[in-house]
Amino acid sequence: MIDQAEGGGRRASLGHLVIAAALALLGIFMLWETFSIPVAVTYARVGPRLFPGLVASGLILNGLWLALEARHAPNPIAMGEPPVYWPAVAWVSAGILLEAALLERIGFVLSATLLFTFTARGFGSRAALRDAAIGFVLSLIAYLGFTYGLDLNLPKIPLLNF
Amino acid sequence: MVVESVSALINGFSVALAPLGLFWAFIGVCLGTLVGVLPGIGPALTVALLLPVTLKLDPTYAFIMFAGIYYGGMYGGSTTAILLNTPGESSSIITAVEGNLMARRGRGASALATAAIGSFVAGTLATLALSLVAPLIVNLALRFGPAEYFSLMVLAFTTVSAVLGESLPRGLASLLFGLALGLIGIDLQTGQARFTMGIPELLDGIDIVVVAVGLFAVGETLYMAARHLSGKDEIIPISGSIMMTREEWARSWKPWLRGTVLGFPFGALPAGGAEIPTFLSYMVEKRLTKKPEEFGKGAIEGVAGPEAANNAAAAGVLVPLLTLGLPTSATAAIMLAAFQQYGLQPGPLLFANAPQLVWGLIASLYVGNTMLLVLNLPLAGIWVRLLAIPRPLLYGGILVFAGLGTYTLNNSTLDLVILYIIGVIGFVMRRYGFPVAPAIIGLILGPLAEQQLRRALAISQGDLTVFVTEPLSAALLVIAAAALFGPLIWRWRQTRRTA
Repeated sequence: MIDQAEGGGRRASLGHLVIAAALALLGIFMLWETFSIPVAVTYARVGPRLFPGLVASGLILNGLWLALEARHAPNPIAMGEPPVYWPAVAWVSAGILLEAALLERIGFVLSATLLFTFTARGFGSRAALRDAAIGFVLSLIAYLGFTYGLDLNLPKIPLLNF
Repeated sequence: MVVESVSALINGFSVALAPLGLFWAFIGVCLGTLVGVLPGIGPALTVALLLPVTLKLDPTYAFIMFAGIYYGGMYGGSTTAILLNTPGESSSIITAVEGNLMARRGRGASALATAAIGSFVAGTLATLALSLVAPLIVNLALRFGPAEYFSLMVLAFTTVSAVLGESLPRGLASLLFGLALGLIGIDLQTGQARFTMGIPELLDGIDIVVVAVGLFAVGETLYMAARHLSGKDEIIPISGSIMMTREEWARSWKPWLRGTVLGFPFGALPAGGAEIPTFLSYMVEKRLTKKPEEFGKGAIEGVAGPEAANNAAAAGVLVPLLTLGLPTSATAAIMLAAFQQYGLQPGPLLFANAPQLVWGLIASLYVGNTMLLVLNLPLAGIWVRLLAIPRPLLYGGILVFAGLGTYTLNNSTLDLVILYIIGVIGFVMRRYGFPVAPAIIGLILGPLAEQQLRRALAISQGDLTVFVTEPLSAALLVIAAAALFGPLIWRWRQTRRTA
């Protein structure tokens, strides 16, 4: 995301251009990959390449279209969006990625409690202990419901085996 | 024909009115109202999160519950729109305008009442229309071959991209992104792995649950966090009598009916979406009202009409979903994924093969609507208290359930990483005004479109002209092209005229 507090029209249209370029690059990558899909002779025409080829071409053309449009596209701040508050994004991101990293090591209940506390912090809460307590109870209820109500196996807290 | 569908509907009611049917409908409408009222989550996300959980449930009851969530989300969304001025869904934007102004003028109870009763009237009439129209379309659809189906899907792709969102290329970008995601995995016809980049977990493809939860829950949470709006939302307490006055009834019933007439066909067309009929209804009511001076200050017609149109369109969306297997909204796309989870394919054959499920589902819509009227009219005050949940805790809770639902799909933390990546993409899409729904529709409908494309070409022995030589298929493609390029050509002519 390119826009900052001072982001004027030029910076924001850069954001649209980056998105347009990303889509076109995805299209080029897909086209490249499409031609590496092996094809048996009998499938030559109706095989597994046709539809991916269409989608990839569509992505490239649409990327060009978006790039043309980027000149007129209003930037998010001009559309009434406040500037991105990065610390909040960082807290929420850290919460999710921590859960992904720790879920199978410290169990569902503890990793979900962390996710809850980090997200609440991202939304401006300063009462980390209270948030952790609420998150713990919520995760515990969800854990018990899934384990005993639905017979699903969620990773347990090590040592406690719970 | 009509007699047959009436008896089928009566059989459906015997399913929906049985204790278990009532139970699951009740769970569905409660959950639906809950997620409709809460900002940040909606019916599409809720059904997606429930998909893995409902795998062991009888499909008939699962769909009765999903239908309750679908209708309940509409009712709950209007409550939030009126009292918080935060439209939960784009189709509640109009309600948020006039309804919130009514609430500020101390007529919040009347606004809630006309929204709830209007939703009930429109929902019931539109469900009736669904019961009558669906068998007709089924008869037509039985004549469709693969070429017609493919062209129909192309039409749905172009219209959802053109209708949802601010500009056509942005709608198409979202759609193409969804189509690209849908291609990842093993090609079922040849067994070739496509776009898996050597990652074995990707052979089964990216699950729709991960994409839906990523785009809706994680994307929305990141987006709201990034806005960092300090200060609390202003919740306007419900004031005024819960009963509408005689004058308010007199001013409401015609907008309800007009909204229904506008909403149902728009929902039933493959154009889909409830936004256009709500805007149209608002404009119609503004023109027809005897008190135009109240519009912009809280006119009851401006709540009654659009709310009715919104609910009628929601019922209309079920017509192409059930009869053709064609989803035209994000929730409908997730419901299609639910059918696939049970090995069912919506379409004309579903009416023949699983009449109990289809008609039980349709009958449960009448039942659910009645339940929702009771849940939302006298009990609105209870739901409103949910709005007082502080945002940090609300979004923390949303992410805990998002992570839980995603992890339990495959017991894989890689899914959580994919969830985050898709969430970041959803964040960027929101920030830059890209609609999210076309991506979900592309993901779920893309593989089906490819299947029909290859079937059609196998029949025609690789001759691509089959799509334009079959008259019905050609007509559908012409409409699709008109939806794509019509607005462009029109705009080009306008600018030439003014230049």
